[in-house]
Amino acid sequence: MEPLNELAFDVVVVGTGVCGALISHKLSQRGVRVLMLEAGPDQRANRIQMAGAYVASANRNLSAPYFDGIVPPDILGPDSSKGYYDQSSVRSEQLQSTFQRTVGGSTWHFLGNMPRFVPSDFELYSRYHKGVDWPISYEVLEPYYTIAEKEIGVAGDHDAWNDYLGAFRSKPYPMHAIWPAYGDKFFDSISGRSYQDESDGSARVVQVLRTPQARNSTIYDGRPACAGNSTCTPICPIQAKYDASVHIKKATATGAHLISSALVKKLEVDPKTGVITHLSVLRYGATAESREESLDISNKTVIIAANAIETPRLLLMSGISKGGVGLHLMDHLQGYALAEASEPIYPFRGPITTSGIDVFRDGKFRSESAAFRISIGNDGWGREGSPAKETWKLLLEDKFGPGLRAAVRDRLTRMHRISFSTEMLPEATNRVELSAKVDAFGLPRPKITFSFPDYNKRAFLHAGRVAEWLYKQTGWTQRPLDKLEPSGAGHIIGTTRMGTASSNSFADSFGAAHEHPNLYVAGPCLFPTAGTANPTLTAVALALRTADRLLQLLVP
Amino acid sequence: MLLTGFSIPVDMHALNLFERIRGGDGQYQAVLDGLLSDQRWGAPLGEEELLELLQASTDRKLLARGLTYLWYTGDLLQWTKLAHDELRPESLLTAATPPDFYAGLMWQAISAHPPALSGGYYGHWHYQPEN
Repeated sequence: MEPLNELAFDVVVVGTGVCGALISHKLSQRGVRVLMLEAGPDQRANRIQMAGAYVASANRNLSAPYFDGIVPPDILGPDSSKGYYDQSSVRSEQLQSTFQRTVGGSTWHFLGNMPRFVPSDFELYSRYHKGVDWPISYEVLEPYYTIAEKEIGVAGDHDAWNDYLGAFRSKPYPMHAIWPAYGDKFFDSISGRSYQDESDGSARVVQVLRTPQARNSTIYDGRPACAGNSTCTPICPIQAKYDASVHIKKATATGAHLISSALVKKLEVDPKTGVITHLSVLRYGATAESREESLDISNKTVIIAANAIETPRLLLMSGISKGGVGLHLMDHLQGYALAEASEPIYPFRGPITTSGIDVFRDGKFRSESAAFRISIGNDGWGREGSPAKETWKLLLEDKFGPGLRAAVRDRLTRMHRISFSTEMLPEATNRVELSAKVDAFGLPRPKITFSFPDYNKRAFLHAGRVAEWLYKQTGWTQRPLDKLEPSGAGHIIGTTRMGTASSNSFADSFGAAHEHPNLYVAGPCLFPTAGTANPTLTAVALALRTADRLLQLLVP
Repeated sequence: MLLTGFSIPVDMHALNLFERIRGGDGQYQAVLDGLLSDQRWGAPLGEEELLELLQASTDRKLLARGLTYLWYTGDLLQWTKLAHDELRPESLLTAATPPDFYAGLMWQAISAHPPALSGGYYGHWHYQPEN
């Protein structure tokens, strides 16, 4: 291992997920010397083997492809229901979303949906007296959205999305929209119908839109078009779906230095100036002994881009808590509805979802209940009925032979799912703290306090009514559900939010920490509210804006 | 054909997996041999007759259900969880491999493909499958 202090750099980036990777690339491209530190291993060369490991794994969870037998599982990909998070045993009080510690971060296992936030997402308090406003508007962020879509490679329908819910688009998507799943046509046929929304008395035109996706609809940026492998989560075997290894490669090609298996344990702070002077870095590996190094960064800039659990955890372990570090933890709480289609719709082919309904992402009802986005599924009943599980049920009914084959076909080709993701509000009681329990490295585990708020419970009822209406329009048979239990969307948001001052936030709209002159944070941890769409694109747009600011400061 | 609805040869690999999961020592080979040598296989069987043949012993039914599941899904590990109450496996095995999973008949039955092995072209999911 090369000692870290022998490396020449101007900026150190902690975390190599999509935000850290893109900032590193943008800086190194302009000659800034960047050191990237990643707590997880470098698994980029093992993509095909990891896809195989996933299908053969006992628990096909998001982290299944990434277990390597070296890095402790809780370090590599925390299991949300046990182990790493110290949290309630009551499911509705658990944060169920996870992240991935590996070079490239959680984009390896993300779904890849890339809608922008809409203008009202930035003004929730002004418009509905809920949550807070962002210190930045859609208009300011819009140019960065266009760059983000180009960098990541987003396939979308510009005309359909331009000005939708007030979100103007100054440039088209770099690729045409991903073709919709066969089953989507049954929803296309009801697109344009009016839904009488009893939640606020308005009549809404329900449009079915192609979901913008970080998934190639043609050869793009040296990566192939999607072949429909249907394992977008947790791994695309051919990298048609974007993951941040794309920008890690670009960053290192332009001179950035990547060190994996390097866990930053602590930031040393000058108590007088607030400057971060040193990083304590634990370097570990399979063949080399673990060792701790103290990296001198007193004249350099540090960017923490380690996700909304690990960023506040690192800050808290460093004694940094001012500005609400760890507070306002959010996710998009998800529910679903299931149906049996009246004819085969042939799911389990292609991306997991290709279309959605976005009209419920804004409305007067947000003063009382959460906005939500609807995804039209292409994966049967999703987590509620895998093909194997349904086959086993038929065997228990003593189906064999041609009768079994016909029954499997009949049941599995007609399974359909609608899911909805509801916007959480920032609550100081939902938070990340340090636990007295320790992880595999002997460091405090994150102690999570989380809840299923009434604001979201009302949204579940609202979305449930919409789903019922949608299935009624298709003429399909909806399956009754006996629970109102949320699941996580994998959208870990908040905990070092941005704002106008340290009295209400940790950082400004560029991610610059109010109290620490050489410290920045990047990622959805900066979001003051959760917004109404998948967070990655907005996080990337913010990160690109941070990179611009740093270039102004660092490059003469 | 009678068990799966597909014309496939008897898959001894699945039998081996089954033996391992049950901790058997060749006993299911004997059950399978007994099943295959049953004189009633000689004539076309309806569903009721097939069930009667399989229900001749608990082991036969268990074996038929287990093998059919393996042929359909290649999914030994999921099966050990699903069938835990009935089969009480000694432990979860790591015997299932990606090729086992990819070869599952279930995907043919529903005109789909195993996850991570589409073998398809861009956009094939937009169309009704050909078969």
